[in-house]
Amino acid sequence: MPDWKAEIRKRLAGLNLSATREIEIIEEVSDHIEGRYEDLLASGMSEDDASRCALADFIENDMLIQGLLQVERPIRQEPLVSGSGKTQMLGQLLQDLRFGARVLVKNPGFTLIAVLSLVLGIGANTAIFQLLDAVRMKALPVKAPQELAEIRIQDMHGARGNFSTNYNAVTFPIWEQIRDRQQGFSGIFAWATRDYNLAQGGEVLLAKTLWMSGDAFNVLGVQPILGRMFTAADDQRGCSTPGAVISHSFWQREYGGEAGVRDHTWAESFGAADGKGRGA
Amino acid sequence: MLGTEVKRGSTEMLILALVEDRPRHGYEIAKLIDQRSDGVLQFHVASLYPLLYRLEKRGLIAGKWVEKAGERRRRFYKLTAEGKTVLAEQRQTWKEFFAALDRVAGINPV
Repeated sequence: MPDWKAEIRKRLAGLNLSATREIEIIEEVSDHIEGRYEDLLASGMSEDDASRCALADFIENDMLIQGLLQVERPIRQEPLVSGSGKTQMLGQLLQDLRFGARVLVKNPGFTLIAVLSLVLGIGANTAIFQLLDAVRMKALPVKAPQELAEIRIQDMHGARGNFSTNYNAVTFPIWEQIRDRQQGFSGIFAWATRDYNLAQGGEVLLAKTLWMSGDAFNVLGVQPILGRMFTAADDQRGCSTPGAVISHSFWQREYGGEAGVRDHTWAESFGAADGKGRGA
Repeated sequence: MLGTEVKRGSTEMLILALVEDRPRHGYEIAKLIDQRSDGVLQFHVASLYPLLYRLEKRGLIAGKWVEKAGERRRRFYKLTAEGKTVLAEQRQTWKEFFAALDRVAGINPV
């Protein structure tokens, strides 16, 4: 028996149909030719004549191909990409992107879920990274942050002071002993926290401040934009020139970056150290 | 007024009418047209299948692969609801056409 399918496949090749569609048409048309062939044999025709006659209807003038050309939709051929390896790779990438875009447009539900998942995932990861970056990864804005260390009192037996916070407080004489006798660091400073009311009247304007020992800014290697920092010379009991170092953001926010802020006086005096210090 | 539409509709109507009662496959449709017209009308494979696919694409017929015991897998076509409407319209058009021919040329199909 003649191989109808091979003959049909050869003639359909020029239509550039999808593989599935081509198989369907081949199967259906070959079934028709097969039926015609069997009927011709049953009518008494020889095999050769029946085969020639059955195929003649199919082959004649390529009418089937012309008819199918008007009905069937051929697969769109992507343009061939010529050029060097990099150019070709770029062309293939563009083809993949176009294909991906078409698939996404065809499946709006899937696209919506995928985009929402990506947005939520990226957003959550970004938030977590920003938190970690601020807390753990970003270096302090000082000269040598990797050399900073915190000193804590290991044996608090019989100690006196304020132990209500995470940072154990020691008396000023003890701080002086630590400062003068330590040999492990090139510099050392102490600090303490306190809230001050900066308002001249009316609504209270609380500012979180630090008391710092005189050499603190020198140890940290921080230079002022305006005015001067505290020095070890200022670090005396009953300091006669009480003042404050304000942050750049506070200067910009509260005083608009004015140079006159150096002569500003706050309602509540910052005063001098009260005899207590904290290890830092 | 009837010219092109009637010519196109005649072949469409033949197929729609043959799948009106029950689903039929392509070769069966071609054979029935040949038999019922006593060989006057013939549909070759080359013209039949493009027309079947066109009618299917327009939603007038619906094709379905069916595999019966002891037989080859075949695609059977049946008339859709839209196909029934179109078939009724085409039948009416042809009736009017033949009536007009009869009035003018004395053609009376028996």
